[in-house]
Amino acid sequence: MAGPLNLAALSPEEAPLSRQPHLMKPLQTKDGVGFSVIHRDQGRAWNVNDEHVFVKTQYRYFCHPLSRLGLRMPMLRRELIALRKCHRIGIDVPRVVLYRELGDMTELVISGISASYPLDEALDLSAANRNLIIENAARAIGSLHRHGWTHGALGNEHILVQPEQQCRVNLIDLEKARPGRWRIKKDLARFLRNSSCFSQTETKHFLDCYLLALAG
Amino acid sequence: MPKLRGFKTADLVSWRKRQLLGRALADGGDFGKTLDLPCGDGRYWSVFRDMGVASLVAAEVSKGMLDVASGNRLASNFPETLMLTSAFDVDLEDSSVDFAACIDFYQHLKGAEEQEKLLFEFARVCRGYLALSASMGGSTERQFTQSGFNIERVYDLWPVLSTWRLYLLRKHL
Repeated sequence: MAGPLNLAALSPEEAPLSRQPHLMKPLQTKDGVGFSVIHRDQGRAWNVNDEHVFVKTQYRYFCHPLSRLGLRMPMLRRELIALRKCHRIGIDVPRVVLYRELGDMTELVISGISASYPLDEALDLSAANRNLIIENAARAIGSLHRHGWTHGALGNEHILVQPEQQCRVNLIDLEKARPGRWRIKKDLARFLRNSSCFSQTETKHFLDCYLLALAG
Repeated sequence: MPKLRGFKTADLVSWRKRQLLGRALADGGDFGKTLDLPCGDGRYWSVFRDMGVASLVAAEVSKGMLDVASGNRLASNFPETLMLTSAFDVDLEDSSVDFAACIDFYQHLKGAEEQEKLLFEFARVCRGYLALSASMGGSTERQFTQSGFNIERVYDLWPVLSTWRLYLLRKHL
């Protein structure tokens, strides 16, 4: 049913917009058929108090998880499951505002995280809090792994730090998150490879905290 | 009926929902200005056209969905207007539409407060009928009456098997 995506299809007189959502992530296609797009929108348009929400829209974006015996499932549903799981085990993640599936179209609306910075930028902001940020990041990742889940795309940009909230660490973009203890080592290795912002001492400190969190 | 080749359960559900909307439109009867909010990718537009709706305002909350919908227009003037608006603060005048449809949205809202807000907004813009899909339940139906609507008809997606229902509501006179 869905036709080609035309981002500039609506003329201003045709669509009297009182708000203009900001395109956060340009169109990505999968197999030349499906696509994924992310907009940042005003919170009040979705009846939430947050200043911003992020609206992820996908068309024919599927995964084939083992838990469904290889049957297809929208990627965003997988993210929704992961967000709920993280929320249950006490890991800070964005709040789910709305999730809906309309045939092959899927949409997930999540709250924005106010005054937050990606991990590498947060570490540069305040030298005094570096240790606290590293400890919180290790705790979040360790806790996720302790419950047998992996993030699947751990990197600086997917770990948001809120310096004004005692360096609270939020995990975002859980589209690839899934259960599977055998993937934990790979998940951690990916993070350590991507987070070149840590010094050698900091990496050791991170691993010590991570092991503590992993042990519970 | 959908074609059997490449058949998916979702197609059958979608076909049935279109059929129920068609019945609601036939029972509503009055096709002045009609509102489809949220319109999604425009999957129900063919039903509105087939039922003789001349003036359709298709509105969506999400920019991503609206962009897709704009590529699915049935004609240059159908739907007549495509607009991006919040479902909780619709960019339309009071009592400006005769028939409104809100399908597959209400049941995704969290909590009665949000649902009531949506119903009050529809009660504001609508002067006739509202076709609204929801999961069946006594509290849901109470909400309708409290928000200024009477239940005219109820259409079950799959009686007994599914809780999905399309309600045809009429605004209190």
